[in-house]
Amino acid sequence: MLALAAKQLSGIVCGATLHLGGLCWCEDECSVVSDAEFEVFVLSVEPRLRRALLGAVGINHLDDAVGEALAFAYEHWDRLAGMANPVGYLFRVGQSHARTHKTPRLFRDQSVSIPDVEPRLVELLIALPKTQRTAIWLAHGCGWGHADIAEVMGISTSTVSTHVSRGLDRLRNDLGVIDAHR
Amino acid sequence: MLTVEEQVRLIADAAMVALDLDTAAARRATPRETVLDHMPVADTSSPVQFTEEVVTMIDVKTTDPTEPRQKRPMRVVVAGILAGVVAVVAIAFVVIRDADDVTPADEPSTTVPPTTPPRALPNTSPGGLEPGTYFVDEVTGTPTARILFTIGAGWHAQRGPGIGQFDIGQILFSRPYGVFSDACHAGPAADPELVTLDGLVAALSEQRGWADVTTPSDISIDGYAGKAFQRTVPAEISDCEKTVYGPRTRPANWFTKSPRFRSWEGYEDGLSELYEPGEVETLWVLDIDGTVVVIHTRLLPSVTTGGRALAGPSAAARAEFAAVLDSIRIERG
Repeated sequence: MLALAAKQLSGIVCGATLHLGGLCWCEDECSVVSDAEFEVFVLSVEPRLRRALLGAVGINHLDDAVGEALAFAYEHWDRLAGMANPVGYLFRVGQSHARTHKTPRLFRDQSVSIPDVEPRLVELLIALPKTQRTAIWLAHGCGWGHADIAEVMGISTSTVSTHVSRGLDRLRNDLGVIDAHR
Repeated sequence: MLTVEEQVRLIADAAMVALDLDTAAARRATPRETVLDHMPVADTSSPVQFTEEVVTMIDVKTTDPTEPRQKRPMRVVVAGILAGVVAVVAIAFVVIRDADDVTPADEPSTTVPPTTPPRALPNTSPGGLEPGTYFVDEVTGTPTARILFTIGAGWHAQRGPGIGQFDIGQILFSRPYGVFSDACHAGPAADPELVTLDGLVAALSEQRGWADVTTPSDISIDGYAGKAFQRTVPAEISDCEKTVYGPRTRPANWFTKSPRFRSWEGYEDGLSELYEPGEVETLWVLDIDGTVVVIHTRLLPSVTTGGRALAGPSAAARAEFAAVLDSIRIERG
């Protein structure tokens, strides 16, 4: 499968112009990333980016968001290449392209049942205010540190902690449960 | 008992697994994108009734093979634009048949009388559908009266729900959530939801950006009233908003932005229709017991792209699509 992907990616054509030696010259936006380099980048960041964006934009807009983010990465490779946390940056890019008035959904099947998970938790998680949902999703759904979350949300780490704490309290309250490990 | 934090982690894990499975299945079953270039010919014996104007409109057209096409047709299941980037590219590579394999049958496959009871149309059918009669009784999460249709050989199921033939076209059952005001520069979808027949028909037929839209005409299928009309995409859409397309249709430069032309935002399935320059789409918009359903047919045009010549649907293939549409029945509950 990876070999096929590599084969597909090897024929990159950049915009409307020229493709020489793995470099692209574009009329308006340029990227100086080689095919192989960008492929490695995509393979490394796409799963984490997709998971993070899923909780933020839902399945309806997930592929648009991921696609826009990766296209942005290609077009602005020089900006991304030196970043310590490119996934965080691309998360913001993807999120900004997927603003929607609809409540995001995590599953296509509305009646999904996950072992060991309270049946109502998915619904309650989605119903949280966006800031709380995003913070909880990134922290506990994706395992991000509060500093990284603060960076992508444009808030302080203490505010992230507040959002996470309040959101979890709300979920526990709505579920009527008391976590034994708190 | 797991903590809420641990449960959130499990939800994320499950959502990603479901997404991967869903995307892979959709990719295996979805044909390369489709274009709609024809409308079914109504049979006087069919319960599908058209006004004279519609009957004229649905005459099978022949695509001019010399007509320039800029892009391969593409219907981006939004869950497909870059879904599972690498995995999807690989799956799409398998799905897309080589042009040499595109040999539309000289004769339309015979519509096989059902020898078994009508079957529910599956979401996907990697191995193709058996000839026979199928039904749809739910469109993007909303139950509807049972919509039946009969197919011959060579069809597969795809999410939509719908059916298609690789490199030829597809027939989809859709429920638009919000219609964009301009298909060339989509922007945010219309809000609130368009839930009435007249409202949806007006939004679709008055949408800006199309080169031509025929006047909606009355139709009736088994007593369910609706409207039928065709829309034609401009031959040139390079000035339209740009985005990345799915690797299935642009395998060599999937992350380079290209113009997109789209009409509506899918309901809850994330589907979004992207159209090809010059494409003609035929729509039946029906009010089925209060649920507005769009049955739209899209046929691949002839196109040469990436050094590959795709013939587009033959007259026989068009006739086969028309026959399937002609077979549509709706059972009253």
